Amino acid sequence: MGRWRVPLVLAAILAALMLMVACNDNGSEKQPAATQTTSGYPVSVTDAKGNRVTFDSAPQRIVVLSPGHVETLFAIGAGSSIVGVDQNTDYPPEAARLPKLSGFQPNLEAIAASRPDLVIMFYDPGDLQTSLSRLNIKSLLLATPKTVAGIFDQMEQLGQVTGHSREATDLRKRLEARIQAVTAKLGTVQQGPRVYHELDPGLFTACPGDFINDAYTILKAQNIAKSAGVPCQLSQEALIAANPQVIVLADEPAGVTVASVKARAGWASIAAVQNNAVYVVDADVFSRPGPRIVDAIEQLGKLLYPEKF
Amino acid sequence: MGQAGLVAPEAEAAQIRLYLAQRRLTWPRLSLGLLALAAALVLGLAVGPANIPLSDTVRILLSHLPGVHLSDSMPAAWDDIIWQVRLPRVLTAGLVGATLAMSGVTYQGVFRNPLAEPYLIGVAAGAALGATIVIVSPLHYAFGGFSILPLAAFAGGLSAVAVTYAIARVGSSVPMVTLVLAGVAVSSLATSLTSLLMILETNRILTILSWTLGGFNLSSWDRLLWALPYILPAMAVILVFGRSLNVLQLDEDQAQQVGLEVERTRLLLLAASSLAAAAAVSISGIIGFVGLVVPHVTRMLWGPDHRQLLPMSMLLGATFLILADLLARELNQPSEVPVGIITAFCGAPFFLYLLRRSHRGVF
Repeated sequence: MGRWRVPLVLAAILAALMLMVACNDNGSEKQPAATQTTSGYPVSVTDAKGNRVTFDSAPQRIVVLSPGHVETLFAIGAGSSIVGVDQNTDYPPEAARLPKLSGFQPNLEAIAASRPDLVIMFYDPGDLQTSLSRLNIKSLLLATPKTVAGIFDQMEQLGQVTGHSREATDLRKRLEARIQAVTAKLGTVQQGPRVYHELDPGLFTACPGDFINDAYTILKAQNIAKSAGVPCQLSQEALIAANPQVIVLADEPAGVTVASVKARAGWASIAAVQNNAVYVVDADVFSRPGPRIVDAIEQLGKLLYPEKF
Repeated sequence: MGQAGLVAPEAEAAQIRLYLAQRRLTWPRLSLGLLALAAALVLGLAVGPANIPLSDTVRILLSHLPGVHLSDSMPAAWDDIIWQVRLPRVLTAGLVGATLAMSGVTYQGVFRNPLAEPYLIGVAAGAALGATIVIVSPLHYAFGGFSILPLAAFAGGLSAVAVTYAIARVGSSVPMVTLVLAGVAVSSLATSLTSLLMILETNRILTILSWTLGGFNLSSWDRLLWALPYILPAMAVILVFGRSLNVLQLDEDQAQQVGLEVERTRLLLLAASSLAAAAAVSISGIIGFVGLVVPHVTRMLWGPDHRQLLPMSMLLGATFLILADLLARELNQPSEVPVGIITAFCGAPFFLYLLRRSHRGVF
């Protein structure tokens, strides 16, 4: 035990210092519960790890380590509480100007330095949550939803936590109405076209368990990827044999173009290639679980059923 | 050789002279290897997630022979699948398997170390860095049309070996121990740079990871033909000079007495096997286990004489990787399982079994 004493003491001093800094700053800056909070507090939510987190008032300084949740928070009017975002965050434009942190390799010190009272993350590589709780910083692990409805559920959860429940519920209704409008146009379609959705030139695709797959299900399209796994990689041979009628490319940043896909050896006979149904879509809109998923669904409706839109 | 420290040098030398006295590449063994490879090729071509009947597969292959015209009505996709996807894929797996096994034998022989493998002095880590630089750059490297990814990986692999060599060289000689240590350090450096680029560009993690894991899903004639001009001459050099690997197992003085220019021979063999390994890695990514274990399995089955160890390892390596790749596309269809997982999962238990059974302790 003796050899642990020095590090333990050091750690205790460090922790105490950090707490003092945190408390001081809380005292000098925004006081919670003074601003726009409406009703419903205390609010308790359960996150993906099963942690039950209780909020007595709306968090005022939120660090959001996933671009999708930033988009959601801005859409429900909670964007002004965000004080730090993941480095890939670029939407909405005002979010892009926020201080950047890493959601992939989170740096505890950098996060603590932005003095958050809530940290939202979509995955937790090195048990960041425990480290944050030692600093008395609340955190929510909101895993990437498996369905579009799951994205809306998270939206309402974030609404409750931030005191924007009504906005979140209203937004959900508006988004669902837009999806309804798209599916209404499909009419009597029972089985839409076969689709291959490319996430990466290594033939990674959206499989069951991915909300993008759910978007295709909502549109009654048949995703040629059927085995589970997020993400999953298709055999090139199986892909050609499945003969997709539409190819959607969400990997333009990797240099994939319609022309480069058509030029792939062995792809000439694929229906989508023959009928010029290969489309490039915005990789961010199609990969972030946020309100823009409905933009994606609307765009997919037009690509999958050009005759109906 | 791993036991070399336990055996008196004279006894070892005597043992090796005994091997030298015998011709070890025997016809039964060679035909067995060729037969296994042929069977793997046929199986690899016959089976796949597209479920094309064997008779049609044969017809498609025949129809591509010059002068053969078959008027069949088969789906156009089948011809693409067999001729553009499956055949180049199986051939690439075979070529890469043979190359890695050959490089493994050469490295193990030159370094006189049973743990040596083709990635020891930087080929893989350098190739990964080269590929990663291109992946995170705004260059258009994507598969389809001409891809610069293999080129970058190849250049990265060779550069890492060149740096390792330059660091390890003392005057006109290159001490093998220094070379290994420099290789380990250069590999770590390249790997850390690769990781850094990955973290800086998290959007491309999937691409970098899938390249690093390796596989044959994107094999094509283009890539195969690109690598051949490097791999085939290297194979020729190693098969011709490979017999001197036997002599290199003696200690340096003895080898020189036999009339071998130890230093030059070593470097020639290392250069050839590094060139081949870099070309293989550039078209397949980093596939572990084959280069380390296939040479050992061959040794345990048929003994350490390099005159047979080299060709038999190549046949076994090709066979093994073709079959492993077959599982990669069959196990979880229509999805892929990274082939490196299969090579380790299937190869390791078999290797352990041989290790347990073998009481000869010959490395």
